[in-house]
Amino acid sequence: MSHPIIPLPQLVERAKTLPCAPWLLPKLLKQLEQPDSSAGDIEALIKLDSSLASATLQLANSAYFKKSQPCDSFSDAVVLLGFREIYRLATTKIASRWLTNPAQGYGWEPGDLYRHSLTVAVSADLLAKATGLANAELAYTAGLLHDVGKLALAFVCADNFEDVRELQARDQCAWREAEHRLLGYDHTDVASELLQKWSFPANLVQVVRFYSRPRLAHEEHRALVTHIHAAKHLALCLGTGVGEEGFHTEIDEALLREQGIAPDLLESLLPKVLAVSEKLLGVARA
Amino acid sequence: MGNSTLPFLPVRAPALERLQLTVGVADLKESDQPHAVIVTYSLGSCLGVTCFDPVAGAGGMLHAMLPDSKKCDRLGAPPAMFLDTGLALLLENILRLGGNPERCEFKVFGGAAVLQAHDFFNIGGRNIAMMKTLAGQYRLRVNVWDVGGQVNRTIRLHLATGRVHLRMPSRLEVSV
Repeated sequence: MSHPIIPLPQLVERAKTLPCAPWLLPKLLKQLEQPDSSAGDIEALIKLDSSLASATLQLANSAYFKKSQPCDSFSDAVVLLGFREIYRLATTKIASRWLTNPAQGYGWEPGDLYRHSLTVAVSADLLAKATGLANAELAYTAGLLHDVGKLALAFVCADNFEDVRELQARDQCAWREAEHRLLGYDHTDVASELLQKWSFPANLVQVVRFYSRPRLAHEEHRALVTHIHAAKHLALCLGTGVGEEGFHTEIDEALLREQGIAPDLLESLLPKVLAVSEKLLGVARA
Repeated sequence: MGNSTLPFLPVRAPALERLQLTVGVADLKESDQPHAVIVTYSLGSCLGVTCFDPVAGAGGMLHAMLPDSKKCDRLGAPPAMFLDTGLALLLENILRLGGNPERCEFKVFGGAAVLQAHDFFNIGGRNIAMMKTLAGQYRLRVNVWDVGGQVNRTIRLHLATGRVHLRMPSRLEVSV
């Protein structure tokens, strides 16, 4: 049985009621872009959110410091790791709160969307460092955010998923396309609306809108969007947190090549992607 | 108080608690405990290889990410990252537990890929091809090839039965 379709503006309004909107992220990003920005500026912003500093410190301890010698203060962690790393950790925490909101859809287990998004973020960061063609912190943030629209869709439109699943299986099209044909919009439209409402910069809005079809991105932002496109596919290979729709995504191999991203380069990054994402996800190695 | 009229209560042996062993990416585990369940999550393009010797009751699981260790120059990468070195280690560990690879039944899962990918990200296809070569070289009895497609797989090997429970997002779990 088909379920009624919720218009996009209503969906976005309802999705905004999900707890822990990442409102601090655009402010942090702006600070990072200031040439004279210091560790103190980033620290002051993070401390605006009372529990964020301690959550960031906790993540820093589990990822970077030995259990026997934990770092006890947020200020010390900023000094020891540098503000770019602290920015990454804080961003991870901010995004994880939103991405771990429970929602039915895409066959996710709890926490899957966060695990996958973090893996995309780590891949994007390493790829940007390897190519030198995109800003690494921005690429990391974009990776964390790229699928925010899926959470909103799963939260508001779970009833429509059976129809999307059927349409996708019948026509063997991309999952995004099935969403679009059935609902009149898809998770990338939803994400783009949400990020604009939260006052995110244009480059990140372009990422969430076009990461699966990077050729459509504005030329100015195409390199960044293409990096997230590639990072998404790298994360799919690892499989961490990938839902039922994961492998039904688009790929533009010609554009990857045009942008100087070769298959060998991507594959060579996999071991490092695994090591860094496991560290951040707190996966213990025997 | 008279003589106790409490009924005779049979003493039951405490049920053995299930022992779960989790295999990470680029990792392998083995056991000869009948109550053990070996699990690995989200194979993606990686391959999950299970082996089980019904006589020795020993089994193991490998979660390998890439086909060939000789094509990676990364120092310190664990042998289980690659199919060639990971499978060799799995067989070695099963032998150590008293198992015999010739008696073992093997099952292979994973190797998913995006439908439209040709030159990029064909790791899944190359993993499957490498596993077929290795299975021939070692003369392994592979009973199940649940590989390829656009699906993420989670597998659990139950050493009590040798069965593998296969789970995919939004689908019912099946036992193979």
